[in-house]
Amino acid sequence: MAIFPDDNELVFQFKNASNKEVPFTHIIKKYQEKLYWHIRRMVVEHEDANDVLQNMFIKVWKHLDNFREDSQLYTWLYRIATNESLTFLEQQKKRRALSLNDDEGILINKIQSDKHFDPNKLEWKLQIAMQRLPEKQRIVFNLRYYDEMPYEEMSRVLQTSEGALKASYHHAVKKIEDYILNH
Amino acid sequence: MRKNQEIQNELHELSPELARIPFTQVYETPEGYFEQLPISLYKHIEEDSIQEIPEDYFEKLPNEILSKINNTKSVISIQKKYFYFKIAAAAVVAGILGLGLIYFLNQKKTETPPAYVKNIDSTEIYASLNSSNLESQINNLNEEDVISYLEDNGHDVNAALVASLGEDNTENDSQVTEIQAHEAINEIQIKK
Repeated sequence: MAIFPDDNELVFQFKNASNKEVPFTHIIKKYQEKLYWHIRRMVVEHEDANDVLQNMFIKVWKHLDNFREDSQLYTWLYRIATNESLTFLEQQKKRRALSLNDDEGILINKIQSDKHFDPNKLEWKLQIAMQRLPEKQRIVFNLRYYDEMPYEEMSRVLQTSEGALKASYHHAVKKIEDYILNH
Repeated sequence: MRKNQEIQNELHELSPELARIPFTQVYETPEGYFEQLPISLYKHIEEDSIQEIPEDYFEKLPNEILSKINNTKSVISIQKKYFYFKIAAAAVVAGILGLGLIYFLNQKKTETPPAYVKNIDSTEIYASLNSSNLESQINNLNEEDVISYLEDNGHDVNAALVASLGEDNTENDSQVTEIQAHEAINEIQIKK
């Protein structure tokens, strides 16, 4: 497993180096997988996740010079990835002129059309149950369950109080459990 | 496998059922995706920077437009002029067809059609009136004939020509190029 300089050092190098590609490549390699999976669970299909991830890193490239060190790079990247995913889903919904429920149905259809989809496996039921959650609960569940993000950091990413995030996660877990037990 | 025991304990407390589900990634990525991602990303960053407008583009634009306006001769686009003739020619053909139809209907009341008319199939008549035929007939019309037709029928040819200049806007707004925009500005200046 590759070892990368810490985030502050990477940001400093990016801002001051004549060749920005070296520190930026380190940032990409350090975070690409975590961010990809975060986005992929939101948008489901690989092609969409790839588009969102690339757009997200292009924005980071453009704005990293203005990044303020008083917040963490890791938190900032997750915030951009989350916003880009939500924007993508919103645009997709507008293009199809669908209601929220129909949009949820589209994402579930995408899960079911995955070549490895198995309706009897709990892992796949979990994916479907997640798509049935309200948007905010889905994001919170994703960050907590898969990314194992502490509430404190999540609070900075989503700019929501820790108490509200805990409540969202608890609701999400209960709804998912209910779906899995009844399907 | 979970790294954070605190999160695992929290999940177990909330839902033992959910905590039993294997912590795995169900989706797959194409082979070598993460190795190729930085390369693909830099390609996009390069393309993106090419598509961006130069920083001082809008500061320089007014002077560029004015210098082009000063260097342009007052010539009216042949294409736009021709558009007017196409409209006029369409009016001529429509008039001829209309008169022919009235004549034909009047004839039908009093006369028996000649044998060659009886032999014309209705589909041939429709085919002769379809839009592509009509357009090719219009395109074959002589400009002088069109002008004399308009003059004979009391139309103001110059007024119709000026009016037609503003009507040749078949392009979608989003497809208007910078050159077309410059031309449009030039023509506005010429009219003044």
